[in-house]
Amino acid sequence: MATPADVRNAIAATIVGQREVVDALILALLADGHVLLEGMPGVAKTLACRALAAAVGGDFKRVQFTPDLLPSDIVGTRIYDQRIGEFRIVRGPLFANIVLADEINRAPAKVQSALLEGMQERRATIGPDTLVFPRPFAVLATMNPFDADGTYALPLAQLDRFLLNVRVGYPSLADEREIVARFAAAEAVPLTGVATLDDVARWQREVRAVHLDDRVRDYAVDLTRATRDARYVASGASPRAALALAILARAFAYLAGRAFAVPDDVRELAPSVLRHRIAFDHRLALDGGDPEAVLAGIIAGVPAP
Amino acid sequence: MRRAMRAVRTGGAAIASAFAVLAGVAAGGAQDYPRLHITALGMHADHPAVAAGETYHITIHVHVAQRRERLDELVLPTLTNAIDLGDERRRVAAPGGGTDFYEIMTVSSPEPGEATFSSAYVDAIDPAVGKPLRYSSSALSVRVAPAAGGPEAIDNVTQSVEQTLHDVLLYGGLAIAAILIPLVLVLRRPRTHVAEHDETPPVARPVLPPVDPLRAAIAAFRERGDDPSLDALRNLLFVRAGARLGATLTDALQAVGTRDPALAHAMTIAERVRFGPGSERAAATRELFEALDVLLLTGPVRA
Repeated sequence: MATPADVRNAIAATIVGQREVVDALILALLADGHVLLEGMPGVAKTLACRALAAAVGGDFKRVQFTPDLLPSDIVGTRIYDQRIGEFRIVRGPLFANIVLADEINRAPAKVQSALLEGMQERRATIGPDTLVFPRPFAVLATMNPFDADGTYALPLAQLDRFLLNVRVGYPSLADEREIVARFAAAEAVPLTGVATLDDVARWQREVRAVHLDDRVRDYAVDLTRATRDARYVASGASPRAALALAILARAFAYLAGRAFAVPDDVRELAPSVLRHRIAFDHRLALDGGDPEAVLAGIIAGVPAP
Repeated sequence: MRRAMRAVRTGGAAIASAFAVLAGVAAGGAQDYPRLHITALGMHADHPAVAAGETYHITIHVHVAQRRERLDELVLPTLTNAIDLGDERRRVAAPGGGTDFYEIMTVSSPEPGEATFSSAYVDAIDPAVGKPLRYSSSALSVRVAPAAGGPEAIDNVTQSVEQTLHDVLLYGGLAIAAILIPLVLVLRRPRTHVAEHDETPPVARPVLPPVDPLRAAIAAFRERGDDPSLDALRNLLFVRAGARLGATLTDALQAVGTRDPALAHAMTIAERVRFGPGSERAAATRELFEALDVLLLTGPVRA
């Protein structure tokens, strides 16, 4: 039987470095959630998502978000079929196991809303019919944080639906040299068939059975609550963040081969779970502060059990 | 009733050995109190100032003028910015028929600033007057400097010296006043009868064999096997590793590095005992004791 570690190794065979991104994608799959990847273009965000879908044998769809995109472009629509004389449903790209929503902030709010509603409800209504998305279902969205012209910022309430927000940085010098050496002549080809969708469903069941001690759970709650009273924070993380920390701690432990979660799991995941759920106030910019440093300080200020 | 109250500062240590008796213990249930003639109840720290995360000891000394096997009535202080890593109680038969009890608390303070310990007390019926009384020690505070090495620590040393000078002047003045004022009062009025237990025997700093807090914490966990005793043991292992309280296992393993593999192994298993599923706790606990035996065999753990 395949394990998540097999998927991780398969993705690592395709992508050089970016271990945090690869782990985040697998964790989201295990925890049955969605990931927001933020980073400059060309740092293998898309390739990582494609490699994940290939490794688990899932259906993969990619949507490039643009200002003229319509909700029906991603959800689907009804067209009149002249041959049978009836309306027929054409399913959009959201009906896939792994959906890559590229540059999510380039589409207007109506499209973002349709996507995020689908992420939450895992179903879509097209005309009179409500259709359920296939399982597993994971949206991997990307966003370029530095190129804000002509973009539509996602409100906190919608960002909250992403289980994780991972910052994708540039590769190290050694990794970049290897990327050029490996892929200058041939395109990267993701490994396929490492696991099956049934394997993924089994992993998700087993993740839910991972033991989460009360004190580890309380630590997740304490970390979440600490964001609400912190300096420079206008709006802290919601209880959904504590829920995300709890389920991801289980997934993290499972990926590490443990049957129980420990405080380290929660603390390790906290930046990725909390960073997109906090709104900082104007004083941070006036003082020239760094949101990541503020978040790190909040996390460090909560004693682990 | 008048009672003597004495605060002693010895060798720079913040010794708050005090013998304070406050009348007016709640009448309800007073008949259940033991009849105890307590002549000293003091509390002191073995260091007036410590570094955050450092282990230190708070000793509570109770002298009872009778032969007693136990002193279950002693109520320990409430701790602020201090974590109780383990307790040990010792009984020493004093010459002349009395009994000395020493409660030694091994503690560590996680945050720089101040650690405070509220009064320890015993509620008992004073045989001399037949009334319930609360015998209470003074509260105690210990200055907590940032962990050694940082600029804050250097500032704190300066502050500590300034504080010590301030204390010397303040307490020196108070001590002189405390000697002169009663002397003047006594000389100016006729001498009256003084109750026999007005005299507090001089409280000497207890001379005890060194306590190994790790052995004490292991013994406590072996005896009780509950989460609080496991937490105390785990905290002690972390502190020994050089990690601050409130740290995670990763922090503690990074702090200990490669200098003590037995300690690293014990901490890893303690994590499994503490956070693992209950069905695996018994087996993990056995493994933990084996790891702790190895740890103790490899000698004292360097902090």
